[in-house]
Amino acid sequence: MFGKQKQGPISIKWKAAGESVRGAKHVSSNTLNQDALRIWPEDGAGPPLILAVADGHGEISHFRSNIGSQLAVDAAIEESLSFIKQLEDNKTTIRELMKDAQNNLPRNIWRNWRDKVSEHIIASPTPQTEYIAVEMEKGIEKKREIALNPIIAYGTTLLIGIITREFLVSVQLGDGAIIFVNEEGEVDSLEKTSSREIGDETNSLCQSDAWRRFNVNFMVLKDSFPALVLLATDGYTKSYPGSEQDFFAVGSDYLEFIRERGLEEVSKQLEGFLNQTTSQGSGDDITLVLACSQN
Amino acid sequence: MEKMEKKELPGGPVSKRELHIFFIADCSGSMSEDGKIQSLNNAVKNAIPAMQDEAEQNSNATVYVRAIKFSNGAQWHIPQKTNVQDFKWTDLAAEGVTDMGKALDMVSGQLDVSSMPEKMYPPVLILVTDGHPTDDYESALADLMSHPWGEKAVRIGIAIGKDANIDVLEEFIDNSEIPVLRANNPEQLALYIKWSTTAIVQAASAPPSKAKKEGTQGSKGNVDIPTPPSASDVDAEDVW
Repeated sequence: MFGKQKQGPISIKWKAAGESVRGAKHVSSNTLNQDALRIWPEDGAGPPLILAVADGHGEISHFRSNIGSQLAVDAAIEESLSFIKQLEDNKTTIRELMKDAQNNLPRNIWRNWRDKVSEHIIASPTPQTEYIAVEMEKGIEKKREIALNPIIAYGTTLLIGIITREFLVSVQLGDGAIIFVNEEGEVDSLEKTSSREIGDETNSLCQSDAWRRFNVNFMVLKDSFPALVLLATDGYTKSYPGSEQDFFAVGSDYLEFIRERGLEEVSKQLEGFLNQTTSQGSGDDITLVLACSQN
Repeated sequence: MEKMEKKELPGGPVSKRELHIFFIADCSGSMSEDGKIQSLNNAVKNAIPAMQDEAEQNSNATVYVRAIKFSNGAQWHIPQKTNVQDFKWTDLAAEGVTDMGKALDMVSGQLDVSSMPEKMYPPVLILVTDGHPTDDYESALADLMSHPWGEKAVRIGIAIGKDANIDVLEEFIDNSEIPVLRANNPEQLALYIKWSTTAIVQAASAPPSKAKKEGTQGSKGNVDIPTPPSASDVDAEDVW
């Protein structure tokens, strides 16, 4: 899928950068940025390199989604580190790790997130004012539903990229996009258009069967690998409602910008790019993480 | 020196998401009685400035309008998607039977995922009728609901007068949270048309994201519908 081959992946280094901006709608309505992002290691240099972005839901039932998204990227980093450590410790093979990525990684991330949310609920019980606000807007049934299952308040999507010398794993729950750009600037994505969400409902970590709904893709980095990997929340993808190709052009353009200006310079410009995009486009929070391979 | 054509912003053209409104208007012979069709024409025309103001203030959506009329068969009254700022209403005339199913078929044809942007807002379908369908509306409605955008659409049903088939409108709406709007005089009709094209449009173009319901692949409607105006808000005698 990555077209023209570069030299073997063993010598390849990766460098990541990211930015998150409050949506234009959220600025005008004075609401928080409900997205979160985290890159491990913090200096963005790998491999190994782990990228995570999360988009907390905006509806009032999910009134702690800004915390839920932060806990989601924390859970993603922790579980991804445990996942890759198996190979580093020679406890498994690539083949077994591929199975583990499909069978266990989503469940481990989901459990870790729920544990973090439970701890947060105990440490910071939901004030009655939040429940009253939900009841006023959504009715008493919704209030009861959240009182019985307060994890709903933390609902969020989650996108992860795990890059090592040997493999690249992409993990997606809910809307947003993970895209890969090859050396020629050609773009492919983890989820195809047909399987994407229509409307504004999405899969979420707060669902009791969320771990079944993850989309996981495991690529062995043997002969070819992407020049650029991008993870973006749906505030970015929905700013290009005309066609998927308009959003895909983001990938090839960033690759070109990075080649012209360098990642460091592009990372300084990200905030401006994203603010302009939310202002002219979706109005939603936008979070972008990109990682480029460097010979 | 950098080339002039160099891109300033990564990606293709950034734009607002589209919101499509479909008027589906009954033009059967009974609509000519007691001034119903002219009241509908007046109600839509009078709602246009408020629609345009709403769209102007709505920084999140580009609003488009289309209209279908049905009597003996169904025809496009406004065939092309028309930006609400350019929207003009030509008076409808009433004659013939009530081929509602044909109109729903035409809506279905436009709501196919292949012909609509994937990332638009849920469309708003406003069905106005004073009678009973005379064709096979049930299979047409089933087909409409089989389209993802048909199912996700905000469907508003307005009954003109006491002879309108409320059961059919409830089937069309298919959402217990949205009542059939019963207009028994021109003032109520004007109130409901204005509400459908302003308050509903505002709600449909600002749906906050939320989790899919447990154990499902998504619910039928994901727009929080504001409370409709009450018929008693209008101080006028029933004439229909």
